[in-house]
Amino acid sequence: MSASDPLLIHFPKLRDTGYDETSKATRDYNCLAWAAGETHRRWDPNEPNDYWPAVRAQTIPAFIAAYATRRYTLCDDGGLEEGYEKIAIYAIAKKPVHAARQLSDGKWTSKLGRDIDIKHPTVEGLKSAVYGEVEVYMKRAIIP
Amino acid sequence: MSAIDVTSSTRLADARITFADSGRQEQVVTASPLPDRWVYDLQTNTVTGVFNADESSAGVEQAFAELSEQWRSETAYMSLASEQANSFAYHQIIGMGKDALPLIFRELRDTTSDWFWALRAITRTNVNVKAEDKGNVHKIAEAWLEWGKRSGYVR
Repeated sequence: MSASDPLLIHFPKLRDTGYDETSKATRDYNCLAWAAGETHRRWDPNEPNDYWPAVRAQTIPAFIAAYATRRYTLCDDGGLEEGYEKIAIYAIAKKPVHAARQLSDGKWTSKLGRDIDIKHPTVEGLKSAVYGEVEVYMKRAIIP
Repeated sequence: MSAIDVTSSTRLADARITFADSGRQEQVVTASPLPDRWVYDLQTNTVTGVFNADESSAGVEQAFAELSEQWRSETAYMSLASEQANSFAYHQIIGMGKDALPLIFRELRDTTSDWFWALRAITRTNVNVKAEDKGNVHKIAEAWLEWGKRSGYVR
């Protein structure tokens, strides 16, 4: 992580928390798929040939419905809860644009557009003009 | 390089070149087909035929390369196709219309998802992929390349 790192220019809050690069850049999947644990396809409500498991709309209810197909239900916050995994949906003016997934150590993982996957300690690390801020948290029970 | 006067002969394959300053000898240059204009290089003392189509194509290619780079830099961290496409540079690429299609198809194998939105906008069509291939950028790119071949944009 250097001062000239373009990631830190777009996500300045990562300067405080740091981040770890966890994959090379790829276009094979996007953040919405990555949050759902998939790496073989893109999820996108606005691209007719991309996968989307709910009503095709870039709205919070449509995103909640999409992740509900993967057993996620709404929850209050992004705190670590034993036996559950969580996702955070980021939005700009109520329009969802990004999703992150919580890891077992309480940190978060995000796929950043066409770029890399990162591990970031907090959801606030990606609060920015690019992703806005977390609008919704969802959780599901971890099946052993 | 500076342009010089050209007088076409009766045969289209020839051009008779006369210099505007009349201080140099007349040259006869042949070419088939006759270029749209001739350009004289003062340093090398050579005359080259230029076709408007070549010049136009080179201009489109350079503009495409510059706009693509600008767009990728501006939208690298955006995830949704609609967010990525909401860029003035990308709008300008779409605005190139069908001139951009051969360049897009040339890049499509490597850059896959970058161009699906532009292809739909320019061609006003969409390719069909199987339900199980939705979101698979390689399958979608293959379908577009097939369309490009059928439509004459991919050789």
